[in-house]
Amino acid sequence: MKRQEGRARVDVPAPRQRRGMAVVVVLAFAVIVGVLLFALVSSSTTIGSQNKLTLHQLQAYYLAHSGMQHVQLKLRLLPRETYEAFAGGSDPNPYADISSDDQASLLVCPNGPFDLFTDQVPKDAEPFRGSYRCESFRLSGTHRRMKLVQDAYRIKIVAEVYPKFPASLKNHVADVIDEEIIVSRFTGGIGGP
Amino acid sequence: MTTRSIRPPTLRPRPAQGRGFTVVEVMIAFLVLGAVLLPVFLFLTNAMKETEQFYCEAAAISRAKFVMDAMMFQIPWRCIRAGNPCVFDDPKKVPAVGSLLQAAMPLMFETGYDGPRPGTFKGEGLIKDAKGFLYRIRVACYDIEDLDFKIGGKIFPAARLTSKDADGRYTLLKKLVLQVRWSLTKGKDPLSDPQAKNLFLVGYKADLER
Repeated sequence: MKRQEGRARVDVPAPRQRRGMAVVVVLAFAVIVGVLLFALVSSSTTIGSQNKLTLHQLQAYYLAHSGMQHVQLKLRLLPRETYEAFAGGSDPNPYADISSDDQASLLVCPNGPFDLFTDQVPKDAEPFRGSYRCESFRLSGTHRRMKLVQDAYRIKIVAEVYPKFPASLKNHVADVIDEEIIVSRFTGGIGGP
Repeated sequence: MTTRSIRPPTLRPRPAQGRGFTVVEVMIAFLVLGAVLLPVFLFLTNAMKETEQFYCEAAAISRAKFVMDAMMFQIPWRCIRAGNPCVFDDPKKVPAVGSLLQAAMPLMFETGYDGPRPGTFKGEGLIKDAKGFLYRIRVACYDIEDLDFKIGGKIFPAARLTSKDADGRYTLLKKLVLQVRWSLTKGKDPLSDPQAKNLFLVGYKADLER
């Protein structure tokens, strides 16, 4: 009796049990192949979308720096008037007019197909929709020494790019520059903090 | 005695573990394996092509950034003259600036940037990368003339704030539009490829040099 029990333990499984293993093996194989495919597809998609995002971030970056250069230009040309606007206390942001959407010649907006390699490129059209604006502009300090008077301004520029324009304004990409600029009130000379 | 020891032949089938596979089973297995692996191989082939596509895209973005950085932050405002393509020319003819332009142009545009006169350069070029893909790059420049500034209830037009530039215009801002076009076929000029890809950058450069 004991001998028979011992033999039964050593025996290979019955054919019916081994056929069940085939289903498990096939399923495992299918899952592995599926995971492999999913990983390949997702990694490929990620690289493509990363490139697109990088480009849109770059577009927003240059628009933000355009806005900052626009602000610096106004500050250099009108340093005394800028200070007086704050001294008057009536205008919380005297640089609100620094906005690409508020001046027709600065508007960044597509108007049909755009290609610089053709002869007829519309002067008033751009290849994508974007904008910059001076979000905030405040006097952060004034420095007087001898005859030199310098004013420090805290400036925040926001630039946005709308990759799906005109179909949608969703998924826009933004870039922000928040900087302090010191300017001579009488000469317009600009220095850093 | 001997007749008792001889077992009669049995018709029972052999146990399953020793049975093996028939040719039909093996063929079906190959068929299933092929059906599963075929899309994987197709995907891998496609992925190889996409890798090159992404490589070209990244190279084009990198070049566009380099050129735009140089124009926005390095090259003097007065040297970028309006046009499509724009023209690089220093109206003051400062030797150091001339040397800067001379050194910058091959880095920015590689070939095809020679201007109409000696010492002048066009804002376009043809670039070949390490893998043999070709990129066309072009920068257009537009003068923004009707710019005005509002502050404290007053309006200051550009004509009141600045003198005329070398082109006889009251310009304080220039619009720069950059386009890179590339072909996904090695060695093919993107201008002759209808499937060529494009990317664009736009920036405004202010006259901060006065």
